[in-house]
Parts: sequence; structure tokens; C-alpha cells
Amino acid sequence: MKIRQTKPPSKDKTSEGGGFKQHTASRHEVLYNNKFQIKRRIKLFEIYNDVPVHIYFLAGIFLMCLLILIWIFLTEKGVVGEIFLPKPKDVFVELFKETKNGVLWIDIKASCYRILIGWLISTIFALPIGILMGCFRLFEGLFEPLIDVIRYMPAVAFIPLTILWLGVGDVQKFAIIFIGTFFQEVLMIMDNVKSVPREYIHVSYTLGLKKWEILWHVILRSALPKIWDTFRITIGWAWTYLVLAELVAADSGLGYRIMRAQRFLQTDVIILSLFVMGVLGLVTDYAFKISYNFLFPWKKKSQ
Amino acid sequence: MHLKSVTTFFSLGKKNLNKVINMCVTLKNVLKIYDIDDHNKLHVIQDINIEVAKNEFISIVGPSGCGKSTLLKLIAGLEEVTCGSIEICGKIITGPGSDRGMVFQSYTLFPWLTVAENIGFALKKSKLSKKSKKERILKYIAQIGLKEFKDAYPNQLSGGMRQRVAIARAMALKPKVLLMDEPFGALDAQTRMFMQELLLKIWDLNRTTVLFVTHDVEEAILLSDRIYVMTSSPGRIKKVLNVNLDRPRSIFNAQMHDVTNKLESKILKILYDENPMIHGG
Repeated sequence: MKIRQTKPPSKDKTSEGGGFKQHTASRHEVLYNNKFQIKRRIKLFEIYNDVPVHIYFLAGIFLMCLLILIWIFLTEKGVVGEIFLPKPKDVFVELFKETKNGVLWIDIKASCYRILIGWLISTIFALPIGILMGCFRLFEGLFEPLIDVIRYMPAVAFIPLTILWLGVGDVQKFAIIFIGTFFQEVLMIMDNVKSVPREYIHVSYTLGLKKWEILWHVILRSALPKIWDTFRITIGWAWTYLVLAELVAADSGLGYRIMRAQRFLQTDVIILSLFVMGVLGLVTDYAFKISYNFLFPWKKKSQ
Repeated sequence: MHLKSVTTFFSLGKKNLNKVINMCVTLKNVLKIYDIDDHNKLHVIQDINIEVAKNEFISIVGPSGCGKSTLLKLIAGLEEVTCGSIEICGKIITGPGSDRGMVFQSYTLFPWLTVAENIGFALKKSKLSKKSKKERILKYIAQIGLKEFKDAYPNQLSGGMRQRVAIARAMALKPKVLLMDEPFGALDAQTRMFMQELLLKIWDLNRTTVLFVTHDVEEAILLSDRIYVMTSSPGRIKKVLNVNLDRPRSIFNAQMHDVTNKLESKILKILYDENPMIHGG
């Protein structure tokens, strides 16, 4: 600071006029930068204030590392028994073992297949029905009472019935995923469609469009980003219901692996399967988020 | 009558002679009642008679809640009249159509389309060739002065820019009537002034029939040939005033300020006298 303050005046004496402008500008810059840096440091804890990207990500990594450290501490010091909580390194050993002999891939494949098909069936029905319900009050009146009743019946309670009807194969898993996601998804899509501004419809009418053209070109296009978000959320629920179904009756899949591991007290297998589910969920979530930015570039506020 | 309409008059042939002589927009005893519930009915507008000739610029001025927006929606065909009739070029309207373009107060550009695509959306169903569609889009983009923003999304535009595109979109189909529902109501005073100038220019270039709804008396005088002053509950037309100002007009035209001031105080007096608050309402 001292050097910066004393140096300019000496420069000012040697070169008059032209040099003066330059010197004031640089001094302003210095002052501005100093202020700016100080401000930024303080504003980390300001309500609703943005923080630099690297700090944002570091914060997340910090908490994860902290939890892992606590985990290592608890197991290595023997505070918690190995039957209840395995050592982190044991989980890693299990990961290598299962990827090598291919068991993990078989389980992941089986679970992903069920999720995808189950969620697709649910979406194929939810999308048109949700759109009709959002656009036409008549369809809302037709479907909503029924959906509201079934929505409050827990999907888990359907497991015995579905096993009785459909056996323990993949079809039963699809059914549970369908029951768990469809009834929520259809209402969410209805809300997405309803949230389209009425003025868009009015303007389209004055531009000479017919009802069905408006439905396709305006309502659907306008609601699509929100529907995409609904897809992201409902596929997360599909995970929950799949694992539930697999825990009860299955001969493959991540849920089945957990169930079997419990019988043999293989806690490391349970923890590993849980982690795999977490990572798979994270990957799907990011896939939806990245494709969102790609599909809807107009949502971004740039410049 | 303007020179332009005289020439179209001759080019249209005998069959359409009557229609040209006829009014472009005719409202006869229009009444609109909203049912609040089984017992309560709200007379939004009542006894509305308006006649607009071709290429006239008409303003409807009145306090908020006087039903002037409802009136435009009725003309656009977005709502049905309870009683009376609305004719466009001698034909009674039965619903919305592309012969009546509309610009709303709220921003109605489709956010998933660029500026050019938004204007092109209006031409979606027209039978023009691809090339002439493109030409027309570019023509209107040039008129509203947004050439550089041709490929920008509405999200990236200011409020004034969005309304300019909305005007271009409504005009792209060359509607018989342009209905404008307080299009500059949400803009700040400086932008509004700029938009009024721009609208005057665009109107001079394209000369279409315009029905302009506003609560800004000065705006109405600046823009229109004739002003309908409305009063509220129920909304009805209190007075019709002609604006005798030369065109082309401009905000900066000093000569017109005298006439403006006189007219403005006249209209404000009518609106003030009709305000329910001074009658103990």
C-alpha cells in the first residue's frame, strides 16, 4: 500500500499533463480492486448472495470428506462394531471384488432395466392424461377423484397383491414402479400444463391458430421444460419403489443384493450397494440437468 | 379519406365496393354481463356503439375497471358478447381469427422462439412462399429497429424491445384491425415515449386500422384520430372526440402541444366528473 501511494506523485512530477490521466486511472483501479476483494470476502454469508463457483463446490466436497473422516475414525478406533459399520477400505475391497467377478454389473443392469421400463410405462400414460387434465376441466373432473384416492394408497401395500397377480418377475417390478410414480406424475404434469400463461393462448388464437395447433405448438412447447423437470423428479421416485420391490421378492438387482447381504451379515455389501444407488441417482439427475440446458437454451439468461 | 385507401378502393372491383365504403369495425349495442354467482350479475360494458373506418387510429380512454380491455377481447373474439353485435368489414364475428391482430400489456412473446421465429410464428399458416415469408419477417424486424437482435431470445430483450416484437408479430399477418390493449402500460416513461414515436412511424408505413386502449390521455391524443372516453360501472362511452392534428405526428412537434393541452384538460374533466369518488361513492 505504501509503495503504491508514494510512487505516483513522483511520477506526476516528472511527466505532466498526459501522465496525470494515466496515473489517476491506475490509482482508481487499485482502490476499486481493493474494495472489491474486501467486499467479496464479507459477502460469503449474505442472504441470497451468490458465491464464487469454486467455493460453492469446495463446500460440498468439504462436507463429504468430513463425513468420510468421521466414518474412518469410528471404525478404525473400534467405536462401532464391524458388523454394524464396515471399514471404508473393506467397502472398497468389496467394490473391486464385485466389479471383477461381474456381480455388480448384473445387479446394476437388472435394476436399471426395471426402472427404465417401469418409468417409461408410467410416463407413456401420465403424459397424455396429464396434458388432457391440464387443458380440459372435463378430463380433470373425470380422472382426479380416482387418482386422488389411489394416490393415498401406499405403493408398498400393493406388493402382496402384485405378487399374487403377477408373480415375482420383472412385470411385478414394473407394476410397483407404475403404482408408485404414475399417480403423482400425472398430477404434476397437469400442473405443468396449467401453468402456461393464458396470454399465450389468447395471442395464438388471434394469430389464427386452431385449438389443437395451440395445444401442440404453444401449450406443449411452453410446458416442456417443466415436464422435463417432472421426469427428473419422478425417475428418482421410481428408484425408491424399485428397491422396495426388490427387497421383498427378487432374484437379482441391487435391492436383492442388500436383502441377501443382510442374511449373511455382510454389512460392507449393503453399504456398497447403497453407494452404487446414490451414484446412479446422481448420474441420472445430472443427465437430466445437462440435457435440460441443451434442450432449452432459451431458458438461460445470458448477456 | 387517405390517398392509399382511395387507390385500394379502385383496385378491389365492384363486388367489394360496399365493403370498402362500409366501416371496418362496427359495434352495435354491445353488452357484456359477467355472472358472479346465481344472483349477482356484473354489467361490465353496456350500450357500446363504435364505428371505425378503414385505416383509422382509434383510442379508447378510461379508468381501470371500466371494461375497455373486455371490449378489446370481445372484438378479438376471445370472449362472447352477451347482447349486440360486432362486425368486421360487414361480417359478424363468431370467434377469434387472424383478421384481428392483438398486442397485450403483458409480454406475450413465446420464450422458446427467437425474435425472427416469433414473428414467423404468425405466418405459420399463411400460404406465402418460404422466401416471401422470410422477406416479410425481415421487413418488420427492420421497421422495429431490431436487426441485430434477430436471433435473440425474448429472455435477452428489454421490455420495450419485447413489445416492439409483439407489435411486429401482430402486424406480420396484415390483419384488418390491430387491437392494442395498453401495450406500453408496463414500460417506464422514457421507453414509453420512444415506443409511441415508433408506433407512429410504423403506423405511417403500414396504415392499418388500430384500436388502442389506454388510460394515458396524452398517449391517446398523440396517437389517434378519434378518442372514445369511457366511464366505469357499467362501462359505457361518455364522449367521442376528434383529434385534429396533422400527420405525421411527433411528440416533439411544438405546434400540436396547444391542441393537446386543450383536449387533455377536456378529457380529464370528463373523467374527473364521472369519478364515483366525488359523488360520495
